[in-house]
Amino acid sequence: MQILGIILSLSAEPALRQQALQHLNERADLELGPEQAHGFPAVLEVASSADGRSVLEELTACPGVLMVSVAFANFSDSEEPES
Amino acid sequence: MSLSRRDLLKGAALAAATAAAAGLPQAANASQEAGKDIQWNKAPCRFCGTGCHVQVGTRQGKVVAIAGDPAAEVNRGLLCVKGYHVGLILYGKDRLTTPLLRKNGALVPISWEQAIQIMADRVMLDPKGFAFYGSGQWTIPEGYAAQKFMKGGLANNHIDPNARLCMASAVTGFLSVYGVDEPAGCFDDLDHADVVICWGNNPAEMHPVLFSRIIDRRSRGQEVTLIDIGTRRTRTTAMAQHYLEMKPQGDLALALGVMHLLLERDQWDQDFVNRHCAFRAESNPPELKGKPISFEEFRSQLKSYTPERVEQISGIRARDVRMLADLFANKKLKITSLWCMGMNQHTQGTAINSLVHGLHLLSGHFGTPGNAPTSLTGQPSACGTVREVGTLAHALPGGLVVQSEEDRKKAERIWNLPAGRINPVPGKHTVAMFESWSTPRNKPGGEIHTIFVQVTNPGQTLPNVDKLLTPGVKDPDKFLIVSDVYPTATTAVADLVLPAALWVEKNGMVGNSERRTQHWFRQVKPPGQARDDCWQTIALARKLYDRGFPGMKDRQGRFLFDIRDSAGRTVPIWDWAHYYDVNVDRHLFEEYRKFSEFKHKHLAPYDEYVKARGLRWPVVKQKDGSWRETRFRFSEFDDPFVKKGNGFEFYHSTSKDGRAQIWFRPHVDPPEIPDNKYPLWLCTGRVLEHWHSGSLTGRVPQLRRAMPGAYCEMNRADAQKLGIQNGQKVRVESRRGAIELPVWIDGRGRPPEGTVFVPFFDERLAINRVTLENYDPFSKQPDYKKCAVRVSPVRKP
Repeated sequence: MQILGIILSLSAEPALRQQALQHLNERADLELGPEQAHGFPAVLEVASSADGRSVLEELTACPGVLMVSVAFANFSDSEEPES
Repeated sequence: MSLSRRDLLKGAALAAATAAAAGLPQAANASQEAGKDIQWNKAPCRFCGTGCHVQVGTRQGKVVAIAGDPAAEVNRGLLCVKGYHVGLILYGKDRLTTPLLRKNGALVPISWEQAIQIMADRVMLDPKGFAFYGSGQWTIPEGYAAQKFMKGGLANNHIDPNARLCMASAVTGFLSVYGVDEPAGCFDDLDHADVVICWGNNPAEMHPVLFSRIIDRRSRGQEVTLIDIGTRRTRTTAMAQHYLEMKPQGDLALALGVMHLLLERDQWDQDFVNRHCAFRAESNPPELKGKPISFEEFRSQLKSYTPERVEQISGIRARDVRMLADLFANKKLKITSLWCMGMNQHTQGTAINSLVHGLHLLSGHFGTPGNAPTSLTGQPSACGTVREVGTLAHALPGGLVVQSEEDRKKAERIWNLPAGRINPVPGKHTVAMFESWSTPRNKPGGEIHTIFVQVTNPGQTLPNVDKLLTPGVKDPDKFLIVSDVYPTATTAVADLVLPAALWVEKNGMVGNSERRTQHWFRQVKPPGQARDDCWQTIALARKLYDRGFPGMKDRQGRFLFDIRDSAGRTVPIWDWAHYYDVNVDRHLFEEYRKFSEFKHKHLAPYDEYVKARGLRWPVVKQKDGSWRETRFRFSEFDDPFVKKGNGFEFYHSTSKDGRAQIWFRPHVDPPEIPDNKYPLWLCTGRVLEHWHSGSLTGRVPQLRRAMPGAYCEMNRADAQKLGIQNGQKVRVESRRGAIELPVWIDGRGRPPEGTVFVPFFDERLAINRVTLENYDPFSKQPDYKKCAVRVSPVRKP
């Protein structure tokens, strides 16, 4: 289990923005907070820290999502790094 | 994980994200809500030159959480994919934990005492042939100690950093234009620019947090025009309104063509130029400062760079050259140029750097928020440790140089050395250092017998590595000492390997791309016998002092690194057990700080950095006792050293009259161009997930899985011509070497027909066996961005 605090920058174009918001709100692994001056804060909960990276890529690829940044990451339950 | 802990973490994550998204710099430290059992402290991220601040969460002596620091102006609480994994770089299973000596081909454990003795023996063999190869990842005190050890102690000046390979051309660009190094502007420019031009630069992947500033503005409906000038499509291209695809080395002609149009249309900023600029061109013989020329000579030399000729040379359409000229002609627009390796790893790196500065000066797009030519750095302290501490072979701290008698005297005074101790002859720059090491000692030029490498991995990152490193490895007279945290391509061939402390396992200070000096304290202990690089240098110096080596004594015969406690007693910091009895960093920094005033790079006292999330120099004390940083150098409204009423002042001007230099430098073809035998261009570079040679990020499973190995990006048309399928293994071969790796067609980056791209992070697929070691004549920085190769499918046996 890994928990990430992320910020989503969405397109300023209304239709794309709406499309992105609809998709994000439908995701079970994402809890979207109210929009702030610099984007939408959200909590992303993934099964393992290994999944976090791919889910972020997936979010970045969503139509209407311009960029995803991370503000918080917890590794206390992370798997051991590899050699 | 218990439900309550999970909920707590989720709450903390949302609070941290909300604070960052709200842009609340002084927001409550949301991360601290994550649990009382986690202790939080600040540190700059260990990776690139952006200098994001993170909050490091530790529990029971281990880093367990990372959060962006909302109090940090640089990143405002945000982190990139590498940044939020930074804590995990400490915990690879194969950390080096004991000194290792090569015996009969194998590395065997030895004690630190033995290791230091062996190093001292190598110095005593011939001090003139001992070299130090350092890093833009050195902390400022580490680099300062190494610098003092070499230039004040051994006095041979053979110290150079890996930053020679990544930003030396930016240095010579700044020096040739302004007479002093480092950017005038800062990251604030990105909040104000109407147009951002990326010159061979991919900040979407290499400096993602900086790039997010631009994207954030767009997301809020602001108009920011992004122009990507490059030789291959990247993630930055995907966000750009204009992509100007050029032939390799087409940038020189492009900059010249835009300047030509500004003059031809009479759209240059005559007031700014007449008051603040002079003109310059290459001298014979070529020298960094060139020779002065008149405006008419400048205009005349530009004349042949018509848009059509620029198109012919660069491949950039004439209409796009005109489009850029239109933007620079528009005084209402604010324009920021960004560059990094594309302009620096270039055999004409000094030339293209000075031309882009010149374009901003000629058009008056300079010195107000949003108007800046700004180079970015790829390492956390390429600026702080390399450029400011001066760990380059010709430099002394604070912008001084060894060739200047006056500068040497200043350094000897601060270091309390006998007059004449510092050698006036520059040492060997990186390529020359390794060439010498790979030349037999009994042959001319083979005097370097030992190289002490700290915090870098030349076995993977030197160009044409089989020429520059391998012969020395095979020569029994040569000796390689490597301090690192993990086994690397360099430790694999080292004679002596030293286990090093990493990031928050030690105290540190670094300097980012915008002149910001940053600080952190040690938060966890290093594993096993791993120790600070700074301690290693001081322990070696002390061993030499104990053996009576005169260079390790000051004017009064005291040890070069004599550090006293508050009672005035010498603390034996060369003994690891006592190294942290005092704050060695504080003592070294306070001494180093004395150098910073010679070239108006004033630094604040150490304790000011403890309180701040970095301060941008020059930092000047105010009447009320506070310390004020400078965002915009040379501009009267912000720079305290500009005389009132001058508007702008280039106070270290090459022409000694307060003016910046606008250069003419002609287009020059690259040293190697594809031909019938090697028909493709090769460009090398980085990827989002891995940092440089991958020795740290390769230990983070999440990053390693996301990008497990190197690949060869290839254009579909080229692949079809050669009968190559996506994913197929190919051989990439130059006149210097070859590697085999899979092809990626229509991958993340998309090179045009005739070009391939290979990242350099993968130690198993070392593309630097293929690259060219030719370098810029002034910066001595090699060109990793263009050489000729052929690609062929690897047939199954």
